[in-house]
Amino acid sequence: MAPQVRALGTFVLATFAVLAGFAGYWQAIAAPSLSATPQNPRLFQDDRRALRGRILDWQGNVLVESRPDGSRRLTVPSLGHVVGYRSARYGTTGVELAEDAALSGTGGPLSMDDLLRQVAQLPGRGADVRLTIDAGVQSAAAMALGTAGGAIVVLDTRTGAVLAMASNPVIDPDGIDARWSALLADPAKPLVHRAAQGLYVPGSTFKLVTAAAGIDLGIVTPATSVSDPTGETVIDGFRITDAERPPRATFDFAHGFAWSSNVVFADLGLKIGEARLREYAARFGIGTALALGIDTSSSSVGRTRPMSASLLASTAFGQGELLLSPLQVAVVAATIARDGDVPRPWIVAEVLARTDAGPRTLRRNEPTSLGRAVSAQTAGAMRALMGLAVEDGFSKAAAVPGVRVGGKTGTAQSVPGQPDHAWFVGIAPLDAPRVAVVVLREFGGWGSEAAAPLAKPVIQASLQATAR
Amino acid sequence: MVTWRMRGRWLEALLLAVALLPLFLGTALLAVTWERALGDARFWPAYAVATAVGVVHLALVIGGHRGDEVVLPAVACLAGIGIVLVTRLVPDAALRQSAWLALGAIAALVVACGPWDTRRLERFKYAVLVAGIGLVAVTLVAGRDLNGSGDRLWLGLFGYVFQPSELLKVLLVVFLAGYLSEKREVILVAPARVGGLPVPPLAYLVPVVAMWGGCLVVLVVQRDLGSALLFYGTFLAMLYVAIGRVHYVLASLAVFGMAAVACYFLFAHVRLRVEVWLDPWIDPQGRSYQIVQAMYSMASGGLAGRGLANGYPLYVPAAHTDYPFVAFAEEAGLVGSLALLLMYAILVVAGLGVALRARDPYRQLLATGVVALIGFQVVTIIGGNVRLMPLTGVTLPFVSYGGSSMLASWLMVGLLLRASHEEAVAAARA
Amino acid sequence: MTALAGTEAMILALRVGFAASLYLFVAVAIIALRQSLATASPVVRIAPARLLLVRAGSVGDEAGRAVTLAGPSVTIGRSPTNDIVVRDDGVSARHARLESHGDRWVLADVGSRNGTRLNGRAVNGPAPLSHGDEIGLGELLWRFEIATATGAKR
Repeated sequence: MAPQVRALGTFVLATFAVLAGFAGYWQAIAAPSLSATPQNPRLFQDDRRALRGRILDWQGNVLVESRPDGSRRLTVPSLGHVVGYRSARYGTTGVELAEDAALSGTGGPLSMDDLLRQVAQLPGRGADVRLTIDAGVQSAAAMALGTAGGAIVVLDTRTGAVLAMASNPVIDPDGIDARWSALLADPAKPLVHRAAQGLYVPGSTFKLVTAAAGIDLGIVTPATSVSDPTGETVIDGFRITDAERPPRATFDFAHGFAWSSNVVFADLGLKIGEARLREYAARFGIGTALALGIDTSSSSVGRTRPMSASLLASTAFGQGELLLSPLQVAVVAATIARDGDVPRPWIVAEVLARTDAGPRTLRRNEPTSLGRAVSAQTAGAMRALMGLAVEDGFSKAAAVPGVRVGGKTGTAQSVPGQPDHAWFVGIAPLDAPRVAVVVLREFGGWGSEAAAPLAKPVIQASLQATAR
Repeated sequence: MVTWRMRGRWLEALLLAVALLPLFLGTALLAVTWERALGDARFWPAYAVATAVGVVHLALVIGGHRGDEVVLPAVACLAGIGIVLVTRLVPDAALRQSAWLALGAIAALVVACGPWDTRRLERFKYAVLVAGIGLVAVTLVAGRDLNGSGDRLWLGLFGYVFQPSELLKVLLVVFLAGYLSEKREVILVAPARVGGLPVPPLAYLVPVVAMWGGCLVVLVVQRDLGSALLFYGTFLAMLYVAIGRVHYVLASLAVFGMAAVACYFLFAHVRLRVEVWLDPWIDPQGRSYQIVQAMYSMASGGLAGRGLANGYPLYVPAAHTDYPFVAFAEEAGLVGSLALLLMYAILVVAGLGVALRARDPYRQLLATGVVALIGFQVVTIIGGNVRLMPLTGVTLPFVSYGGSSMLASWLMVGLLLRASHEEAVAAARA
Repeated sequence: MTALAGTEAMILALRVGFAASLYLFVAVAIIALRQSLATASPVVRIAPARLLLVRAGSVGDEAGRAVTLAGPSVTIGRSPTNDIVVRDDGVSARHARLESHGDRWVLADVGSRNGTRLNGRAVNGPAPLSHGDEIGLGELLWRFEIATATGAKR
């Protein structure tokens, strides 16, 4: 009987081998798709249990952290759009999306610890994400904006880092599912992240680009004599008027900028020509999405090609078909602040593994340049123009005691029958700039009255934050 | 028959020391994960199991037992994993489980060392058969339905409940070993021919028909698909080993297959099990909920597992009785589930070693029957767990929660030890 | 390892230990099984011997057929399950068994109809064999040869 006993043993062991094969199939081959099945109750449990990384500000202050139930607590409400929401139903946005892999710890093993955790199936411990945002500057910006619709963007001009980014109305990412339909139906469109995604007519703030192009091309200098005796001119039968008539009939180009003469800039625009104006706009980043990390919209000079003379003239002083985001305007100002070099704006400073021995850097972002827009001399001349605008122009309200501030206001047509959008863009300190500040107030009216005063506390706060 | 002279079973001692490591490490893992002290009452059942196994070993040493030294460690390792798993899944039931295990260990010890001879079992095989039939009859009349399935599979006695089909398995092996070792030569005589067609001998036909009928009763009346499958499979394995004719086995298998197909069409509960086995996604929130959850559970374990008490095996309803392999696979990973299979393979090989060393046909068949029964039981339950076949209600030997099964499994261990001891004594005498 | 300190590191270490202990047992048990299975049959010393068919019957079996005895137990009969299968009508399905006991072989009848003969005499109970013994089953006559002895002879 021994052969039969052996045969039986072989049969049983062979069957065991088949069982092992099936176990291997379920646990190795079919496992990924089964584990990802939306109905799998473990997905929900794992998400609750995973230690999602925190989001920190520039100095390490906690901006977002997980509660024990897995939901996320935002400590600075004005950053709702920047950090974004995480919803099983409506998706993920903002930094939560951009750095999801790092925060959840699923973005491939970043360290030996992660590798160990993945193999051992321990609850993932996500890395912390440190932003370039400064909580103090952010709060100052949010406070300055108050409840008014609009946006404030602050860049560190030396690096392109975003110090603050406030939008109104802001969203509260926590428990957004319950409020989703109300948010969608809200005519104020709170889901739009105005600072990075909102596109507005830039008004006179675009004169920064036109003036820089004109000076860089040698068409004008700050001292070039210009005239605007009536406060209006007609181009191709299209009447162009100044928002406010300059106090003198003839003056130098610097004052034409400071007093924001549309007539002077319409004339300059025609001299520059469409092609060169578009080229300079593109050099400043207009037309390309600024790779911030979170969603941004591309600004644009306008689709109509070629432009008529009247369209070119109105584009030159900031109307026409121009659509710019507050972030883009800030990049223009920062470029002037750093001698013509265009900074790439960025908001994620570094990814930090949380170890018991303290944070350890896994990835650090470095400032990068998008290229040169204008020469250093041009940029220097532009700074002088911006300084004049604050000292002797319409931007006086942005002046900060003890610091030289350069700036430009803008008053842009919004929708017919509604007040204009109010803009202010400024850099400080003028002789060695550290920050660029952009204020946009939707339907705020005059830039000099509605936007420029708001910039003052923000400039003060950001200068303090960057003084270290 | 045991000579009361100490005999150092050093191999067994060494293997036991290693075999109990999973029990202690698993308990420590549970303690750390649950943030409980190692001395917590929750872990006493595990220590009781370790003690019971140690006592069995010492008794074998003191009794001068000469039986196989790998069987007990293999069983101890499985039982250790089992009690850790039961503690993790149903902590309140672990104490009862360990009590049944202790009872089983004592029973095994009595069988292995008692003053008796397997020849006596051989002689009284028909008495054993009658006892088995009586057990079925009593269950049919006085059986109780414990799990609300409508199947009356349990017997109550002094407040304890017992599943007679578990004991029946052991009785069946004992009877078949006796019957087949006696009749195998008769069966092997050239078949008589009636009208040119070969007619199998009566000694073959009678047990085949009887087994077939008996299993059908179990299947139809008690609706115990798993036990029926197991009984018949064990019978076929022993028939094959005894007579070595594959076509007789295939013929018997075909007859059983026809009955199984008939059952599929006749009984809704059989049909349901087959349907959810073939396509679990037909009703993942309803009829196939358990099987779908089991698939999620195994997938979640992956290669390394979630770690004991760190996964969610309780999403699978009745995991501790129906899906113990899946629960272990989730928390110990593929690494663990393959190790578990290897341990059963070790038990099977150790048992076959006993059978191969046996020179007496009865003891050889007895050992083979025990191995076949344990092996097929493992295949049936794990096969149901990993969707190799429809799930049936049999237990995973030494691991599943269930008292009757634990007792029956240990009885079989006792038989293996006994058979190998008698063979060793006989070989020493020759 | 720094992020896995305290309880987590302990749990991980225990998990690795648990898995390792499973395979440690598997490994140790396999070593033990190899030894015990080896002692199960082949290591028992089997005297090298063979059976030589010196007289064939009327049906099929050819004289001169030699079978080496690979112990510990060799069965003869007409059933295909036997180690030595013969066709002679006078031989039972299971007829006789040869067992190796240390250095010698023992012949036993296992309940044949016509009985087994050793050197012409019917076998009752186990009978030790020596070189040159003649074993009769039905019409067949086998000679038992110890391999070393035959080698010495030639």
